[in-house]
Amino acid sequence: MEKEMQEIAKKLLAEKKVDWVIGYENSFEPGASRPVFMNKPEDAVKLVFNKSCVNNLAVYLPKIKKQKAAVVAKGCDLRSVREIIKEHQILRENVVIIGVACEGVESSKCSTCTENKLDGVDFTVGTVKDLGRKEDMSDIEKFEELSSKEKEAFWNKEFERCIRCYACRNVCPVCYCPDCFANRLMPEYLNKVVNTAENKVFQQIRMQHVFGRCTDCRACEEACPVGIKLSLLTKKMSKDAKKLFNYESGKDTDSRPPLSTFKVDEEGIAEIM
Amino acid sequence: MARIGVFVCHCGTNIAGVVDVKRVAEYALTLPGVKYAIDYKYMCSDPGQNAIIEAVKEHKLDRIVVTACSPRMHEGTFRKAAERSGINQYMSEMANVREHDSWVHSDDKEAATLKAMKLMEMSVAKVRRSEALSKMYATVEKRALVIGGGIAGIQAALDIAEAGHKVVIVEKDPSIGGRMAQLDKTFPTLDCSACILTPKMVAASQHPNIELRVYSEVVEVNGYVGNFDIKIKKKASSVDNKKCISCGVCTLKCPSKRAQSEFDEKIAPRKAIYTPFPQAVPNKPVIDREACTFFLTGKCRICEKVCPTQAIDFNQQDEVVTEKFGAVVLATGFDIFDSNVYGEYGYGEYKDVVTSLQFERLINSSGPTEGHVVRLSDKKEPKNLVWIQCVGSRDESKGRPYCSRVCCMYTAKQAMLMKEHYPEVNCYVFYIDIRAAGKNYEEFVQKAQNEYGVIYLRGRVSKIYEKKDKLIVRGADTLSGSQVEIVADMVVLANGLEPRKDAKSLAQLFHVSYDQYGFFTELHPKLGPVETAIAGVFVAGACQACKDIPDTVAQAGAAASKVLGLFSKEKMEVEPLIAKVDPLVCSGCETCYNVCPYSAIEMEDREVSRGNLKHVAKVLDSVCKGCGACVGACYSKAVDLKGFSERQVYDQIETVTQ
Repeated sequence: MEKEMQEIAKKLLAEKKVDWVIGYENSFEPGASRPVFMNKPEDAVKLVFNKSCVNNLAVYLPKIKKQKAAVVAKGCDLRSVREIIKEHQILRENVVIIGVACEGVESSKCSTCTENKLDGVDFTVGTVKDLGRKEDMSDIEKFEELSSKEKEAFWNKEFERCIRCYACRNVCPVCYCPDCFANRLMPEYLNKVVNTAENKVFQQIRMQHVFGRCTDCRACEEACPVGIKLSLLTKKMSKDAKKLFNYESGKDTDSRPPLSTFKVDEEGIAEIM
Repeated sequence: MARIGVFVCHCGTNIAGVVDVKRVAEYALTLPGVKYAIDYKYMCSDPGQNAIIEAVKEHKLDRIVVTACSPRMHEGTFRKAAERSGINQYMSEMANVREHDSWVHSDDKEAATLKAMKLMEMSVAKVRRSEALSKMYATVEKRALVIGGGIAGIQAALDIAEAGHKVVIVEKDPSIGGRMAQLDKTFPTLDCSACILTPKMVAASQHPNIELRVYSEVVEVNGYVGNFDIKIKKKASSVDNKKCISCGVCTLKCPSKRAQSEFDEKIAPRKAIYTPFPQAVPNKPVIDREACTFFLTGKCRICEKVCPTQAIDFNQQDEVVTEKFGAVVLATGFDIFDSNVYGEYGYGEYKDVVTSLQFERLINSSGPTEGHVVRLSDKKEPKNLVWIQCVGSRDESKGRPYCSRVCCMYTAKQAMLMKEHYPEVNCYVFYIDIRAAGKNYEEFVQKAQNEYGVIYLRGRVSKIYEKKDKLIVRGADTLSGSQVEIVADMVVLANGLEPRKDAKSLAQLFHVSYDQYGFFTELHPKLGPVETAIAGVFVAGACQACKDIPDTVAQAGAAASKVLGLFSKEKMEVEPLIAKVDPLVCSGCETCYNVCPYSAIEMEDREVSRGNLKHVAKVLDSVCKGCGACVGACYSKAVDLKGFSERQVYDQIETVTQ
């Protein structure tokens, strides 16, 4: 499978079909991998794919801009790629998608993965199998049953630890704004002081911004150095977007995220007169 | 450093009776940047405005805050005063301490004073960051579009055309005339509806400034006041109007018997190629493709054979044209309430229960029975007739709590006409109240009762059922406190009015708001009855609220005068309080482009730094209304609103939360 991937990358670079190939290579730490960017065909041998290839490489695509890039994408990453194309951060013709038939990596999402299909990719590496896994919303449903007080107590405990390193934002494929509200001064939308209240406000606004665009890829949760359970938020948002707007992010490249469109009669929402 | 002047208005005792205005002015002087502050009895009066102008000159002020009433009331006044004093008019701010404070907190003077101080302080914070803006101007396309060719549309078009401007009437039916053309006589004068309407229809069609677009619909709207780009779809009529000489042979020979006449309220058949009624304007037939034998089976072509000028064109396609208009009058009129909602009246089940419009067609001498009122079931003349009022009016349980305003009158009219045609018949009217507020209206209803002998029963009908060939109408007479049962030959339902079924989708095209029933919402219920919240779009007739003909004609004239007011200007002043995009911050995600309700955002590839082309949003200055939807939607706050910048608003919030 890795061989196949290396051949594709080598050919693309040799034939100058792309300027860059974005994939995974082995890290200096045994058994670990890290993202790699290559522009020479001879580098293609570095490409690997194994259980440690957790990173969502779609996050690098908006930065490619006018150049062409090939990207290695798992089924779940593919949704982010589509979302980025949909939001005009890269043109479809400027990206070559190398889909890998993934059977799960070291991530919390993989045990309930239903996303391993590779529709609309340019190359498929390996064969896609039906993993027979099912979506599981029990953790969200359990959380929803808590009282507001209990929820608040839970999140206060989580965001007490937050150091506002913005890693969650930086690894998020749909957090591509060149100038994030959190960094802005005049007006200062967000106080730069790190405390529970401000940390919560930051994440609340970020979640509002990515609602209906977030593909629940868990990159934020994996990047968080203090282990805040952000998947509770991202999974809940995916659930609500589906329930309220019958919308699933990253399933196609032409629909619009629900909060950036306007429909007079929104079926999932009862009208308040 | 800013030099701010604060002017605290007493508004007589309106503000000063509650708020300690002296304290507000003294507090103002302690705020950074405030160089001058006074209080005065009436800031909006001439001496008040002069005080502002003199203070600006004497103390070299560069921005002002007026602590007074609502900006809706006097923002313009003080902007002009600022302009006259020599500073930019957008360097003035108002703090509303009347509606927002003294009027609502008259029970707590201390708290009201503190609130007034805060409100003033917020305005000072805002004006500190104000920027000088210059007025913008847009051209006006002096051509009006009237949507709906009923009496409202015709009247508005005639008035605009008479003043010398071009008008296009778009009508979805094959002829103009609308509902009024269907009526027999009009109340309270009993003059013939068609006799007073057809001259106007002809005048509209012959006026050099009016262009009729019948069998057409508006499908897309872009642009803004003075410059609307409107797509109009002309449905294929399958007849070449240039060749057609309106001889009528095609209609005569057409063998199709599938369709029911919409004009005759479906009580008579019509041909597949037809004009809705003999006086139709323009008098050109159209082919109803859903009823035409040729279009359904591929055989027939009789109309093509008999046409002396070869005007039939089966291959005609729908045509869509885009045209520019400066102003729009919506005059789409009404539908009558669906009688089927009242199951107890048996409409649809019993043939002799008819709607009021069907009765109009029955008694109309140009109707299918040539004015002989007969039962639809057996074509016999009825002897006993019952009218039931408020069918779909004043009935909360049916979702129609409003009064339709015309039903009391037309019921009296129809009963009188019936008595006039057939003096020996008995006419009964079941009513809740008689609402006859209008010139000569009450007299008219009295005449129906006293001179014509129409019997009025106050109460609702609970049930209608058939017994042999009679209809038994069971109801209450609340005045005598008894149940009554009338053996009737015919029952007429006095249907209430409601907006046209497709009025909502039209309103959405123009972004005009509508109420829960679908009536278009006027700008202000009292002071803006023909304007809408969308500049350049006006309303006339029953599409805005239930109305009779004189009110409709009056409103149409008013709408026309508003259009003419707009057209009297060479250039239109546009507020510069609009959005602007910072291309360096913009990520080009197109969210603003999608949320903009006015299509005022365009995406462009722009060189933001040398050699760096970037896909970014751009605001079309004259289209933007400054609603701020884009500012709210932008994730990275790359869009800002001039005159309401994020910095200003944040400074205000900070001031109030300190």
